[in-house]
Amino acid sequence: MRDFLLYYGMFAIYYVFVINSLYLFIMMFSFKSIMGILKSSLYSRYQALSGSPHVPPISILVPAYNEELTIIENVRSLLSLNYPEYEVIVINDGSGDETLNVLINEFNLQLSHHAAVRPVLNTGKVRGVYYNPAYPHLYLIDKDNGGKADSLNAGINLSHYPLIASIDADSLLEKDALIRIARVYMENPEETVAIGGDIRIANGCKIEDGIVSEIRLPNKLLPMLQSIEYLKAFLGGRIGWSAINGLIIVSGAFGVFRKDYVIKVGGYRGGYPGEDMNIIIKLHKYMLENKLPYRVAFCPDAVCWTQAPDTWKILGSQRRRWGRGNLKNMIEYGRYMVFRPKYKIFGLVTLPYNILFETLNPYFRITGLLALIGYVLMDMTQANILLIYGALNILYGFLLGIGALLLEEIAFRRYPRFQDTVKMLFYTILMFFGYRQIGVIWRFLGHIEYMRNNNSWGTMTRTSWKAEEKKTISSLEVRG
Amino acid sequence: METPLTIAVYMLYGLCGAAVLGLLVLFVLKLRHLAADKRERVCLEKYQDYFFYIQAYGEEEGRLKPPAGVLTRSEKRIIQKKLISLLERFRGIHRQKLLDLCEDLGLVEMDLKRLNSWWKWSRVDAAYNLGMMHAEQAVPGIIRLMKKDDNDASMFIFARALAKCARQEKDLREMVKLLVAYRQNCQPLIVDILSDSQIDTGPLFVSLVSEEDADLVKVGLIGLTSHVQPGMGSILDQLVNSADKEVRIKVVKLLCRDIRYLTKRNVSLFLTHPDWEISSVVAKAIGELGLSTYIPLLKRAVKDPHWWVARNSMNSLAQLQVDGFRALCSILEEERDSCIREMANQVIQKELEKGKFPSIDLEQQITHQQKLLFYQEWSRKTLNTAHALEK
Repeated sequence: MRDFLLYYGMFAIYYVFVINSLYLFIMMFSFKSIMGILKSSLYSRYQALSGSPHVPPISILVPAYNEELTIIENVRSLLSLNYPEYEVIVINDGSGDETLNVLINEFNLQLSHHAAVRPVLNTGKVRGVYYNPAYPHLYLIDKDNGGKADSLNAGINLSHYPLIASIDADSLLEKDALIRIARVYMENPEETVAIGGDIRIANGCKIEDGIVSEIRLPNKLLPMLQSIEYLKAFLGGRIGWSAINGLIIVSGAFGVFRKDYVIKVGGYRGGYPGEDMNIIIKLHKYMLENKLPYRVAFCPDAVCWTQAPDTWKILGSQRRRWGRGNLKNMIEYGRYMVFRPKYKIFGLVTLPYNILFETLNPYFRITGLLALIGYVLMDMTQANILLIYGALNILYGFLLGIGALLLEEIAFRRYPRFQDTVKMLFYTILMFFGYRQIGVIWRFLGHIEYMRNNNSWGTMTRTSWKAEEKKTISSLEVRG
Repeated sequence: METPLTIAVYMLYGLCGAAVLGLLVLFVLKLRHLAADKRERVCLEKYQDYFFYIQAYGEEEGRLKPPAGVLTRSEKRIIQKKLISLLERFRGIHRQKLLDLCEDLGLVEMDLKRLNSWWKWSRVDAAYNLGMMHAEQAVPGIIRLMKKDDNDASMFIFARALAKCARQEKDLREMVKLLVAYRQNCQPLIVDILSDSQIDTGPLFVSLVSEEDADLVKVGLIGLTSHVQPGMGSILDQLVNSADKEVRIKVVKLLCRDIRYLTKRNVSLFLTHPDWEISSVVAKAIGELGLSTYIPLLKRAVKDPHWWVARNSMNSLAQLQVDGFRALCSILEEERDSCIREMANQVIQKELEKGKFPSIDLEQQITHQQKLLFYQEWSRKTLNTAHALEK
């Protein structure tokens, strides 16, 4: 028994090493691409491009469920983007609060029973489309509750343009985020099927009129830890994955897609969370099976600011949902596509990585730790093995954190103060003392919920951007 | 058991070393950036009066004077950045004087040398700066870079720089060919890049339309949408039958911008074209251009099996004053296909709903009232007929 525990513990140690080494390997591609991204971003004249008649028009889809607190600011911010031709389609997904009414009142929208909805995708019942010619680029769809995927599909049915952008109702786009993504699309329009934007945490930032006017790191523990997590995932991971065309997810908070291909793959899948990963998997599958040249790109300088959960309860609910979504996608598609050469990088690298190191991660980590604890309890003289396991986790995680901060410093410098870098480094280490472990448990619980067929969205409460703004101002005042 | 654990310990040492190295690089980079920011701030403050001078004396005769004293290389860089931002804001003589100043300060020469740097990103920086300074001397160097450099997104930076520097059409043509060879199907971006050029690109687009390469033809066609050129009819007529579908669509889009090309023969041909995109574009254009004479053709096109063709035809009918609206209503009576009837009803109701929103345009209000009146009379008559038939 003792030997078994030791061997299993050793396996867990090397598992941690391999998972992080692979991540580091992917990060190297991010480093390889970063100068090109920086120069393209620096030297593309977005102001001129945002007035160009050659930029493709985009339909922005905003699914909203109980978003009465944030929706007005969000829509106002979307209506003032620097982009030549676009429309904003808000989809009220049977909200139980005043989301519909606040939008109708704010924009003086009128019910139109006869809007041109082309039913290319099946959706829940659409109760009506609201419109006001004074806001010619704004549409509001009111429909029965059917989930985020169903809302996006309803938005696609109404959309008038060849590109669609999905944006969360609790997020704020930077004014030139869309034009930056459009530039990436215009460089290779034929092959680009989806482009993801960079998601950053808005907690702590100063927000005025739906625009992040002053960038600050979050003041609270949980948003700060998530800020580091997002930085690692988006800069360290997604730039690298997109460089080898192995990106498995374009965040639901902000992504742009070719509408024709989204329709060809049957639109967004409802019923389960993880629709953002699901649509990308389906796009990879469709393009590879039909032998069509394609790419799923990532545009790290197109930034979308989002509210991060600031309580354990809400964060846990979100992470369990992510766990369920990931497992569902891997069961539904992963097991058929993994290690099959016809799916190229996606089948041979991305999916194995995702299954072994994302989906199964909680099992290896929890059981590995338990095995090592059991082994040490049987022989206290071997306590150093537990220390090695812990140190390996922390050091490698810290190294990856440094890598992400380096990428940030080279290309973006959104947090220019020296103390911000020190603070981020501190939290990069801090996250290994409890936060990461709880994250693993949440994922595991998400899998249990999946087995028990629990498909609810769980708790999700929003804070008004105005409240967030007031909080930031008051905290700045307190700090003097 | 000792061996695997020992390896793990070695891995820890390795990680420690890498982390320390990473931290060092991060802090050095951070401090360098902070120092550069500070240097820039100090320099801009030092030359604040000089920047006032070049903005105030931009319209005066004679060249702008360079700042007094000897400039360091780093000061030159900072001043160049400021001048580039001013160049983007000014036009005409003021811009020309700033361009002359860049030359006098030796900025053009400095970047011309950097075009040959062994460090790729220095070459990219130099090309961008030279483009912003409209340096004609840089043209051969940038073309050379476009031909030699690694094929990545920097191609577009070089191309934009070249568009700004070029004074001759042949250079732009070469740039277009290089870009098309580098990546197909980015024609809208190429046209956007060409719009930065100082020279008239109209003749270039005309000549590209006659090329054999379909990608070059597409660049020409997209360019011509904003550079109307006379006497293109015969070339465009030939391209309508191009083997490339995208070319065909783009040609028809171009033709739809000019009423003269929308003859009865053409409209009839396009509305029944095998490419639904072409029929859809033409159906839409008829409404936008107010071509009431084609109402009978649109009435036929509403039966097209493709949704967009049918929808655009109906929308156009609704746009074509009362006559078009009347034709749309008649579809409800005459058409047997329930889907078409339903769609027509949707478009009619949508058109009538426009009355909910107060229109500031008097003409629009009158037209709407006329349509409403017609609809009320028509529906009353239709209902009476239905009742009579029931009896």
